[in-house]
Amino acid sequence: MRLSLGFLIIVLGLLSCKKEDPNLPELPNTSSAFYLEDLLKSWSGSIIIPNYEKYNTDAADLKSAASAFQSDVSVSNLEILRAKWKVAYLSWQTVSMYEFGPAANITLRGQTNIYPLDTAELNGLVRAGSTNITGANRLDVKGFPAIDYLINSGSIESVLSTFTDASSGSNRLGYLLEVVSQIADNASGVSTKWSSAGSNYVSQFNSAIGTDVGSSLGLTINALNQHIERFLRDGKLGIPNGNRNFSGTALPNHVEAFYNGESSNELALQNVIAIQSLYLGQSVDGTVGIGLDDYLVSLNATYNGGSLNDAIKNQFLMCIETIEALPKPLKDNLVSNKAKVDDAVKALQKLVVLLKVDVPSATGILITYQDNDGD
Amino acid sequence: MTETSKLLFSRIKNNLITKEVDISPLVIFRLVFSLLMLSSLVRFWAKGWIYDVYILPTFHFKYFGFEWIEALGDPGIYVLFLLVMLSSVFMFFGFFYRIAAAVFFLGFTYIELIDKTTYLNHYYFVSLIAFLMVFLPANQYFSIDCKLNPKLQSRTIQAWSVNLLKLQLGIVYFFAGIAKLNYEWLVNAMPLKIWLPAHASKPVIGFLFKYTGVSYLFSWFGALYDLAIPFLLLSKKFRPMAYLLVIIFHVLTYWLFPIGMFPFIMISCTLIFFSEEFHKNLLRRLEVMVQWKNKDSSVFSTPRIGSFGILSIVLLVCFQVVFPFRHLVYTGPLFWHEQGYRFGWRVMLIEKAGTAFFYASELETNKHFEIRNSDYLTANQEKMMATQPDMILEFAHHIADDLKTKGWENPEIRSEVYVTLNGSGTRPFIDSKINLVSIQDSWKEKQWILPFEN
Repeated sequence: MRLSLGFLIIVLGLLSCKKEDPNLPELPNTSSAFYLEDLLKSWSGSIIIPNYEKYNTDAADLKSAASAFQSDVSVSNLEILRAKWKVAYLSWQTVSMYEFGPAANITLRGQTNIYPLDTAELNGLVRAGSTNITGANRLDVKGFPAIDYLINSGSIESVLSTFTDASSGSNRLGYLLEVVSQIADNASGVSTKWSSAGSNYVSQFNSAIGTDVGSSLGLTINALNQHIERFLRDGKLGIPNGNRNFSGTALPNHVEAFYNGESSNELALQNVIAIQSLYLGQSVDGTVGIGLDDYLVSLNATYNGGSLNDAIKNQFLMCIETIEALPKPLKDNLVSNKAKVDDAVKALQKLVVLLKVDVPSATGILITYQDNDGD
Repeated sequence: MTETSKLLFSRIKNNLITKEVDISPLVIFRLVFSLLMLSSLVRFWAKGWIYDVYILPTFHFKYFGFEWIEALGDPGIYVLFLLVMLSSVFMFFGFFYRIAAAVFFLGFTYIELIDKTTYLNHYYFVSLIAFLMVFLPANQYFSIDCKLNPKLQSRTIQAWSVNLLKLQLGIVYFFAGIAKLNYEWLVNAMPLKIWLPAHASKPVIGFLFKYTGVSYLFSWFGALYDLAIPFLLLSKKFRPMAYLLVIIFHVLTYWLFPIGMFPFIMISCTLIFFSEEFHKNLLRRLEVMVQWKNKDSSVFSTPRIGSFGILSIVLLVCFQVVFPFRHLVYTGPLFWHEQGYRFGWRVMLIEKAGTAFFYASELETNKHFEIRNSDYLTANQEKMMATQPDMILEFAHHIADDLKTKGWENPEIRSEVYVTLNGSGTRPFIDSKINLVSIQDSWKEKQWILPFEN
């Protein structure tokens, strides 16, 4: 009897605070489980999959341009190839951070964009007429950086001559085609795996609600953080800036798209904007849907007295502003404009802190890099 | 000593210490505890954690005063795990019991002392219980030791054995309750106000978690539960209800939080509070089940505790009552600076997260660069280090030592650390101007931790 009375009190307590509590978070009429599901649907349906599809299309275009160039090695075809390379590379920046699920299965980022390029090894392979670019030790001789080297190192005429060279021209063409084909195949593979018409990873993604390890929210946030810290802050700016080597001297040949040079800034900017779009729930066509911002607002997440969402939105703007302020080409301005590069790195670092520490801590998303017990 | 206090002391001694009681509760506890330990160790191994935690890392965060503990490597650590598992089997059967219990205690504690990263209150609890088990006569009935040496066999023991286990469990709960009596927990319902809504997508009652009132209810219920449960379990009248609460509470925490075996350990260990009759019945059934036959023994001897034993128990208890409060000698909020946080039964008490950036420099050579933490630490080590000052300091010294092997003469290490506590928002944690290499860890107040409120 006493026991059932105790239960009654607990149940009544639960019911009563439903009505009385003035601090109820402002949630839509649905329960917050549905809310998280809506966020996942918005991410996969309006942002991730459309971006993969666009990247897939652009990678296929790049492949067509390379084939056309192979059958007719001409100035105009090279110009088209260069343009398509840039379009696909920019497109890549909108999906590179989703290194989980289908992308993680084939380590897409490593297969697509490792730089600096190992030119000595690449030239060795070309000389030997080899197009074997699979395997873990061939990551730094392929992807967008390899194409950059093959088609952008020098004037149109000099590049053209390397492909018409009697002894190594055809090897070089063959190598180029292999690299481009692999990019296109990987793009189409991952895109298909996500698609509901293909392997339908999207249904798995949409249904893994919650905030535990292995939930889609946890996976996405985790992947995003690792990407921003290592591949955006470090890879695109920090390492070229010399932040990671003992002497602290700038390493111009470590910038992204080194041979093209002009595009490094644009690629970094595109990557930040893509991450911002995911945060805000902004789809490819520009319409704004449900994003992480809405989730943080619904939880009333705070940041040192203010709103966490405001802090993050401002930090994205700060990142964009400091990257836009970097003079072109980045590789020639690392030393002369070091203060500006430092500013951009610092801005990205603060974004890392906000997304890696504040967001999981405010949302209760479990970010365990390794399965373990806690207390 | 006055007459009344003398009387009181002899009452305590006669009722709680030297009174002869049935041995069954202690025997059941031996069986339950050793089985639980064996399954915990098997689980740890099966999940691949021996590799992840003790082999993969190239560096381990040592406990102050236990820097000599080595990780043993592969296969050493596996051998140690096997040895500890084997000792739990020996404990279960009561075979060379005292040696087995000693090996278990030393082996288990050694493993836990290898790396601070994996500190858990429940591992500390296991070490304490294992230590007590070495001295308890848990093998004097229903054991292989008794078969081999019938003179050992005894149907009765002195009450202190069982009461000591109850006291140890009571301390764990009660101190966990005291730890919850703080402003954040009671007035702000933190961190449950963050943790519970994150589980709103759980089935059946999940939808309740988004209501703030539920977080308050859980906070207050949790604190009251911890404070009251030892006393409710002691009372014959409330025991069935109390045990039901034990089950509900621990199953709920298991369902919501990644706390491993702890709930099951507590659910099983609190059985010790049940009556002598309950344990007698259980043991009788077990004896029938395995067709146990007691060796005839003409001399039944109840093992007796001496004054040295009593003194040791008093000292052990005093230590446990005082040690959790050592944080009082440090200034500033404990949850922020964490000086004196461990070994205080502070279980699932704060939501704290951080990230740390380390910079190495050398004045003479003008070298300077940012450390990549992952070059030295596993992801889990990095995460745990970022919020705990003593680990940050230890890591800085480790980086400096490593740079010295790479030709640096006077490496200086500075850190930029950002930490958020109970949803406060990240703020600077460590004085980034301080060269951490110039500081040695000690019990002294860590002045280089920045204040929580700026």
